[in-house]
Amino acid sequence: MSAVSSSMRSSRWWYLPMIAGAVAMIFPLWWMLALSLETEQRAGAALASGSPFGAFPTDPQFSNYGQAMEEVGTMPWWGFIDALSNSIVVTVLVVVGTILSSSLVGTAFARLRFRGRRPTFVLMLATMMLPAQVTMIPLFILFRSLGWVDTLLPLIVPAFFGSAFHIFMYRQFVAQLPEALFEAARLDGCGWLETWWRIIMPLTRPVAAITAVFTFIFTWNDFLLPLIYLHSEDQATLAVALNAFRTQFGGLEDVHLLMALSVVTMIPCVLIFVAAQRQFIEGLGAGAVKG
Amino acid sequence: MASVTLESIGKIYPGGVRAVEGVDLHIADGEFVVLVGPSGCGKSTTLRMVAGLEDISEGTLRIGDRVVNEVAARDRDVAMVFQNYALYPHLDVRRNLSFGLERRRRKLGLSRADIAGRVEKTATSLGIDSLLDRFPRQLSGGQRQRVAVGRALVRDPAVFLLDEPLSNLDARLRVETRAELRVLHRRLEATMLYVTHDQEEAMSLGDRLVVMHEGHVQQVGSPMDVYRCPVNRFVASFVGSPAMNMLEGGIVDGDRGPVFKVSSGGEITLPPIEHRGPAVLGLRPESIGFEPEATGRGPLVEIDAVERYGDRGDAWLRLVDGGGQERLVHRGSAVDLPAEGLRVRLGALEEGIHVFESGSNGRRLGPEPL
Repeated sequence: MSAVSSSMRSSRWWYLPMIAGAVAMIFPLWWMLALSLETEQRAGAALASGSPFGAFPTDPQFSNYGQAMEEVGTMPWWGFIDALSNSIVVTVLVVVGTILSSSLVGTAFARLRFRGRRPTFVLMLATMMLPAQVTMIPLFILFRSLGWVDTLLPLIVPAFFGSAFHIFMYRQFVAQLPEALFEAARLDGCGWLETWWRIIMPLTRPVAAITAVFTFIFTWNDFLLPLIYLHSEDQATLAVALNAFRTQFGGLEDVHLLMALSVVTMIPCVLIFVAAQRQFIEGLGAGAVKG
Repeated sequence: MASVTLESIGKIYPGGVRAVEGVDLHIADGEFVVLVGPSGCGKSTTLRMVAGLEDISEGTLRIGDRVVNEVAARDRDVAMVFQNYALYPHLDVRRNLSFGLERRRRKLGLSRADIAGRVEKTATSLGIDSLLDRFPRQLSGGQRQRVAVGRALVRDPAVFLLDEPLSNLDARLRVETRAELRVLHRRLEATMLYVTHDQEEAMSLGDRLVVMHEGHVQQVGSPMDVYRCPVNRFVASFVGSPAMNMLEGGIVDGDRGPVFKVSSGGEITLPPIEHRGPAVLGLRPESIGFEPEATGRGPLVEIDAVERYGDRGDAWLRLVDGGGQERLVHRGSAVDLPAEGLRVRLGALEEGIHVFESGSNGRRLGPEPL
């Protein structure tokens, strides 16, 4: 046999660790999905047995989902609807705010020549190195003095002041766009703000997609910040409600409902990723200039 | 349409680098003026100052009667065609064309229908009406170039600025488009300021040329005036292709008037000229003639190589005396070119003779143009 085919055969062994890795990654998701469709008794038994293969829903209980959503909070259904709408409001506004502010600031760093541009940029990058825990208490004090505790504002408003990582991404992308485009826009009658809105925003759609997905997933799943700032039941986001649901039913008794609610919580993240995937690949810069 | 006047315009970049100095130029209403020079000569900077894309460090710029030094680019009523076209990649051709008008819709009092009409009309006149729904990435280089011209045209600006708009086209398309631009200018009677490093393009397009070098204007004049009577060695070598031949030497009195003695040997009879002493003789390639080795008095040259382009051709010559390193070029009809390896003496037709001061960029000393 030739060297090529034998090397191909040996490379097939690499699939084994890869498959093992994939199974390890998928297993918790499968476990969640499987338990969410079990009856209360079977779910509890599977959990008690400690066997990772204890659950296989032979008789899927889709009604678990309805029941789980109904039992969030103290008011039937309303607890869930409150949490869901809070999560949606927070996430949508944070995504919009992050994209608008980060692209605007990134554009300024990439295109405007102003005094102190470099030091400001470095300072901005330096904030990325700062762990969130460091600013947590000062921020809490600040928002408390503004009277924003137990409102959604502390979760939303900071997004409109940019995020260092996304500003950096926007800056790198905008700096690569040909200068002549901006000059053409200037001659065509655009000021800076209009150039940003009409030229840069459409051309940075791939960056916006990445920003949207990252921000969406992070905000949707964020547990710590909502836990710190939101105290009343009607202000809770889904992540907080999910946690309350766990404590509400005393640990692991209703694990099948907890898993069902987890699946429901996860669905939007999966959807947004699939929807934005195309944007990642699509290159919009093509055809701007000769080359 | 409007005239453009530059008075002592200068550009100093932060850090003190001087890109342009003391440019005085009046572009008449409807004139086609070409700024030409090698890269780094300040021509693009000058154009960009007129456009409002660069601040003007010194001097006064007028468009029409209005001083526009401090006027923003968008309020100068100028349109520009960029070297790389700079079409908006996310907009189709129709919206690329209408973009500038949309931004000025209120100011100009245009309705959306007016804009659509103007876009259609411009597109038809440039033959791009079938491309209106395409995106820039779906166009060929030539088509993009037309759209870029159309984007300027549709605005009907006071002044058109063109920054090397043909340099990204292939040679054939470039020549075709050049002619189209000329026709377009005649039809529109628009004021156009055009920048190129290609002297042939400059000669063929401009009503007037402005030859620039190291930030200074060297000469302003009609293409043929600049060609026939270059003011200094730089202009003489830059304008014309192949470039003018230069011979070092000096002028002395001969039997029948002034004679140029080439420093490596041989002499060439000059038309009447006052200067005597060291000088540089410039000979256009097409005005070089030959005499037999035995009877002529000119410098002895050997034909190194002959290139024929169908109707005409170039013969590359080497001065035999004085080290044999100096190269000259003769251009003539393809059938009359001397054979390779032949040794002949150089002669010159009177209308192609130029005498310059010695030195790297000496002034032209004469003779008086015919």
